[in-house]
Amino acid sequence: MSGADARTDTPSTTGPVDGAGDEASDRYRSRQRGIIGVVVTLTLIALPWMIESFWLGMITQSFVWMIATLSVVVLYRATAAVSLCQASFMGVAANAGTWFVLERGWPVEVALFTGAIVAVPVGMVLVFPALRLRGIELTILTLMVGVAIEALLAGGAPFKASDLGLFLQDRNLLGIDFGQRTPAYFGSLGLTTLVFGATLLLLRGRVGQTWQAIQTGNAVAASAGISLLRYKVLGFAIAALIAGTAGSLLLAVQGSADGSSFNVVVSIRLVVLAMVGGVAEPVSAVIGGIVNGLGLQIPGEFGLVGDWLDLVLGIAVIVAILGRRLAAERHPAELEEGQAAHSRRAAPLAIGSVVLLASMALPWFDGTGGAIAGWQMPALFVVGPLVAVTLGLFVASRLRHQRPPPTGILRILLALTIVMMGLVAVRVAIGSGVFFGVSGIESEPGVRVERAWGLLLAAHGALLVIATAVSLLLESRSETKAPQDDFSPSTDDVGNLPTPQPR
Amino acid sequence: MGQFVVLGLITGAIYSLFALGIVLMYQTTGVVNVAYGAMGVLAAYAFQALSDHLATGVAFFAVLGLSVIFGAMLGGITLPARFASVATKSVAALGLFVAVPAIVAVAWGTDIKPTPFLTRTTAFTFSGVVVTTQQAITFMLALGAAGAIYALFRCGPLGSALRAVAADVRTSQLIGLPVKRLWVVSWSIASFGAGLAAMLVIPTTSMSIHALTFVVLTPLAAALAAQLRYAGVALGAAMVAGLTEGVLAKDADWSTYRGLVPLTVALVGTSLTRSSSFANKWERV
Repeated sequence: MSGADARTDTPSTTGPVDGAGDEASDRYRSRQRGIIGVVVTLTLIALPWMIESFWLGMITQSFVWMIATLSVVVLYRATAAVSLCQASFMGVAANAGTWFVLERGWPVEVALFTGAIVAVPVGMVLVFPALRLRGIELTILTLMVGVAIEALLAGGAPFKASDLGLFLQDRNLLGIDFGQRTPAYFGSLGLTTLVFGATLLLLRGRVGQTWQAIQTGNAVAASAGISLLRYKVLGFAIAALIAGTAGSLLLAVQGSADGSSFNVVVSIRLVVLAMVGGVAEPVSAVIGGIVNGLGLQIPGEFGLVGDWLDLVLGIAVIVAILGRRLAAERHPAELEEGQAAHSRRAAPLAIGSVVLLASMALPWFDGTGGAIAGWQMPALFVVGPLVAVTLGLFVASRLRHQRPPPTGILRILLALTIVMMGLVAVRVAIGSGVFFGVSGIESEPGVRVERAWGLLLAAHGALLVIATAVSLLLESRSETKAPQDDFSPSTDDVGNLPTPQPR
Repeated sequence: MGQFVVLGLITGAIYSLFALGIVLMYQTTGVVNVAYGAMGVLAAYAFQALSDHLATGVAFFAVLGLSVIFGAMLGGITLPARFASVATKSVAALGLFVAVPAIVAVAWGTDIKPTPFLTRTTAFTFSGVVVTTQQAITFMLALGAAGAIYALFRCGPLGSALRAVAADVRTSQLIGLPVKRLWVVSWSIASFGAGLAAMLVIPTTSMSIHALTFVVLTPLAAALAAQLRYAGVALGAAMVAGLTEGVLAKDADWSTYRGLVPLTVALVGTSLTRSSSFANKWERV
């Protein structure tokens, strides 16, 4: 995140007192970041010995979705395009990888790697419409590209491996047996770290800065001698490569896949997940991956319709986008100073963590709370809260440095969130039997307690979402009332799409 | 073959209604509504549920009324967004795209339901091709409704007020137009169109959430081809796309490639309508 910080933070120009404060807060932030880093690393390494193998598998799948969501984020950062066909590139990679193994007899790691590479030229095809269309028009066109790729893959395009779906018998990649849960976990963790590390380096480096320059202004960038076409092509290629990597990894982790793993519904979900966390932020890919991998599985595992999560996600994305953008559009001056950027990032992160919490709370609603037993508990209650606490701290640190400070109610709710996350962690430590060997969940009172917890968490999550939206809307409302703003030109950032007008 | 042409014409008529709804909704609210099909899903499932208890015709009209109310509700909820940019509003519509089918799935489950038909009689036979009354009604109702919505927008005080708001929200507010109410009215009309089109399309697709949510792809391509403003082009493109899909449905192997139709329509249409002489020839909505 420090790259993003460097991008949006304003240098201190207000005098020695503020400068000293900034220095202290910088120290505080770097220490906080260090602690979070150590906690996350230790948790990730210890995880296979902490939770049941089924949940380890689910977390391994989360890594796949993290990489997939990252491709949406990278494409947005590079070209400002929101692509609704990234899952199709995953499909191309998985189909090609399987074809190389089955039809050409290539070693599986070479085949899957080549599969990911095959997705690159397919992704680069998007450059042609991107040269003519921009904004929402391009986004809608990518939806059609996704459906077209789906049809081609189903209809026997090159690299169609089999009619019965994709299947990989030997899943031994570079000595790591992806057929076993623990090696698959560490293999996926390693690849995810590699992909995220490389992407962050790329975004912070020359290429990332050039992309940002192009975003700031096409004409200015072109006049500075930057080849717009070359960097656009590069953006589409890299995003497709990342999506292709996710497709290959999914096949390695699952061993089998079919069209429904890569259809446009999956693509749309990737975008929605990225949107909730903020589509330009790599951290939203992490949140998105966790919600997609764990959140979408958990309700189903406990007999609840998985669509509940879609409902929460759909509403969250409307609140997040409208709330955040309305606030940003009403504060163009602050946006330039980088101050509104803090609130823009803090709000979606808060919502992202709430969605995560809500997804953890969902299993209680179907009344089968009692079925959660044994080693499934730690998966629900240790990993989730750890991630949530990390996120909560992160959000709090964001708001601490936000100027102007958040409204009172939001501040109280955020404080409540952190306290509740702490309580959940304590509850977990006592109730799950991880530390004390006690498990009170199977008993009837235990079930009631769990249900109460779930309701409390969900209600609190809903309150936080509403409060965030209300505070952002109030902010925008108060600006709208200012007389000079009534005549300000609207900030239409849809590119070449004409504003609606009668003839 | 004739049977598939009939099927194509009917699909085309329904696509036209969808496409016109998308174009007019963009023109009046500035929202490129990806969730237009999703809004219809709710109507189709409500129609299915109501037709178990009421006569099919009564259920049909009741759902049309409910669609208007649902549209007004959505319009009311999204009121704060009316000054937001086109991109913001349209991307937020993705949220509706995910949330509305989820509401349907939670309420009615994800199983494919039996399709309610308005009637099962045969209307007429034309050189060996059987046309059912349902198909005849669908064709006329879809094109009729598309025409009526277009006329409402082009003529009368409501139409001119809607067009004024579409042109400039802030100026419209200054001259005393009820901007908030007109925003809600636009959503209601759009929801009416989506509900009607969805109820008409279920005999040709199926009563599944996925199929109904994505039925909007081809009309969306037609609207995109028409640059989201030329209603006539949108109608024509939707008709051609529907016919193509109808003909492709003839053969199981061809049918797989129906997914290529939206992209082709969008790319070919966009290339044609963006030529410089085009804008002068066609009337804008």
